[in-house]
Amino acid sequence: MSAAGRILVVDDEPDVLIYLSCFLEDQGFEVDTASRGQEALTQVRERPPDLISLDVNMPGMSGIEVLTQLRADPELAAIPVVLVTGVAEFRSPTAFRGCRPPEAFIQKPVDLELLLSSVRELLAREAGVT
Amino acid sequence: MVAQMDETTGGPMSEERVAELLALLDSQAELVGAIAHEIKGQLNSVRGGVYLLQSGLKRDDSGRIDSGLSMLERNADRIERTVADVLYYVKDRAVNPTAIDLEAVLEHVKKLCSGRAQELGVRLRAKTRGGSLRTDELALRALLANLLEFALRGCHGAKLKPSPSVKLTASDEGGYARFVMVGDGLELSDDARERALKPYYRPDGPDRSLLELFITRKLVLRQGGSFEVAPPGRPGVTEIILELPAAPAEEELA
Repeated sequence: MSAAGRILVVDDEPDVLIYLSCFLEDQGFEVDTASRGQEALTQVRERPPDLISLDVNMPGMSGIEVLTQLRADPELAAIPVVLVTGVAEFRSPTAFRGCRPPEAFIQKPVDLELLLSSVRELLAREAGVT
Repeated sequence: MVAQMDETTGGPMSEERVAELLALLDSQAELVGAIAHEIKGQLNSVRGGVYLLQSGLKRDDSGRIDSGLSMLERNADRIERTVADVLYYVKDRAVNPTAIDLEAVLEHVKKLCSGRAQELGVRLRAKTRGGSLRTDELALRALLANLLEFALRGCHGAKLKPSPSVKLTASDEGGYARFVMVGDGLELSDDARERALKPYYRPDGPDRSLLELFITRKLVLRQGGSFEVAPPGRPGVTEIILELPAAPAEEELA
């Protein structure tokens, strides 16, 4: 694992996967990618990341369903999630079907500085460096 | 309470008519929202292309520079298609029919969508035995590009087959043209089939994947054509058939 941490980027748009993974790798993170909700859950269970960047609008299993399943699993519930969304209603805590909301929201088009500061802050909090 | 007047009958508007108009307003709002969402996605990818290009130039990394340029080119094509949607659907542009070579128009839309097909890992083919149709060329390009985008995205999203493909064929049937799109790796649910034929736009869950199909159908119907989703046949295969009549020649209109 890289010193900066390992991040799973989940998005169904191949361009966005390339964009965010290149950017995060350039910042020193190790990056895994998944283009589907189900694929993301499988990867998280096999190799839990330190943080997940999660798109909402995906065919099949949406980001909200992925989040709900993560939060329901005691071994995975603590992994911080940054929800990447262009849809305003997902910023409301009521959108998460009673589960714990994501630790951060990033709006599309993604502001890289905001993404980076959110990721660093959440990973530092996880490591108890706050 | 003041009753709304019906412009057609001059009498008070019925509850059914009010409900119909409210549904239309909702649909228009959904449509504008879906297009805005699409533009956000494209803008995000353009920023991705710029990032790869800039960082590639800084590092003198030709692989990254090429990736950035490809990303920018693909998304310029997507933006071109979205602008065409706005012009043809929202603005209700006047049609300008001319004699169109079917082979040339298929070649154009294939080229427009090939970058997207490559990005999504879907094989794209277009085939015609030639012929022509008198119609509005830009509207025809826009509706075919929407149909292909719908099919490419659907095949990529469904992940039903290891090597999905989309094939578009066109034929001159004498007086009208027939376009058949076969998505091998694309399956429409009964609900999506039903919604694709509704007069109002309703998003298909969070991914809004029916937008392109809705716009295709609107553009076809506006030109007096027909739009048909073939009944389910082979599993994982969807076939959509469009028929467009030739626009009357100017001398016929005189």
